[in-house]
Amino acid sequence: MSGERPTDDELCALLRGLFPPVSDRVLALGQTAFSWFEPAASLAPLTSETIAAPSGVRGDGSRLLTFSGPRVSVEIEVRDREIVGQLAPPSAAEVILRSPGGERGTRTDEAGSFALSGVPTGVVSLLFRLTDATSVVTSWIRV
Amino acid sequence: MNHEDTGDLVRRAGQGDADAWRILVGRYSRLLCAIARSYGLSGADADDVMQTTWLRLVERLTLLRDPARAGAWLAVTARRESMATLRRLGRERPLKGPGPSVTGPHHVVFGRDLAASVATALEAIPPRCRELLELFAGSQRLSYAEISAALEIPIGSVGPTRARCLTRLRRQLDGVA
Repeated sequence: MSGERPTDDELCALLRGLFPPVSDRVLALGQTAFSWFEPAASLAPLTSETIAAPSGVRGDGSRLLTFSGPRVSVEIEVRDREIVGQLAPPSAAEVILRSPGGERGTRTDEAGSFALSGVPTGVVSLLFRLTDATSVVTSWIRV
Repeated sequence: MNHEDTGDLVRRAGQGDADAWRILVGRYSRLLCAIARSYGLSGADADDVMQTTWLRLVERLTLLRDPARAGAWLAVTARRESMATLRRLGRERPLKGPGPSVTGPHHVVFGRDLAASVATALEAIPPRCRELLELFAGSQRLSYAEISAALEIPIGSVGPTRARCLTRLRRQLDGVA
């Protein structure tokens, strides 16, 4: 093709036609994420994660995760499809397990502890509605 | 499509504006796809990376220190999530080349020899060059800072690397033609 080589601009225009648009499915992944926006809640990011040694009985070790927010922190243990956790300082709260498959809820006891079973596989986050009308979300984790 | 400032879009989304969020998703989805693919991830694994990356931006919408740099922030987050996914899959390091993918270069059916030659040449140049050219060729204009964050190359190298990749593509084209 000597004599009529494309310019850089022409080449780039050709390239544009060769890469197909991003699929609707991929766009939907991003769109859906916005439905989990909780503007009123403060974020408790994951600050530590340890994996307990495999018990040998169950086959899988459990994970201990700590989320630390500005005013409260949450410690959870994830084992199999179950989460047990503790809110600190201890307080009564509504606990909502958020996942793309839906939500499920429970409450903490007076000591601030809670348990959730049947935890779905994938990404999850916990939302706490405290009695003083404030709320806290943990960052998303994969379980 | 209008080109609104990324920082403004992030601020508006942080006030609950779903339209602003939709524009952000349109602007950066290709970037996130390309990053996941560069780690050899495809299908459900690549979806996991994108989903988690977007969720992380949602949880930090009002906390980002510099909303104008959200694109670079997304790129860094997607790389981190890609590595986490690889660890979870039990792979020690990224696969060498990106796997075949739905958004990879492919032939568009139109009867121009040049386009077909460019498509063939694209397959023959290094994957890194192909990724960079894809990011430049996307309908959404990405900044050099965003491309730098996506490909882990210094911002000052983005322009020269693009020129080098175009040269490689040309050389390949000349060989093919």
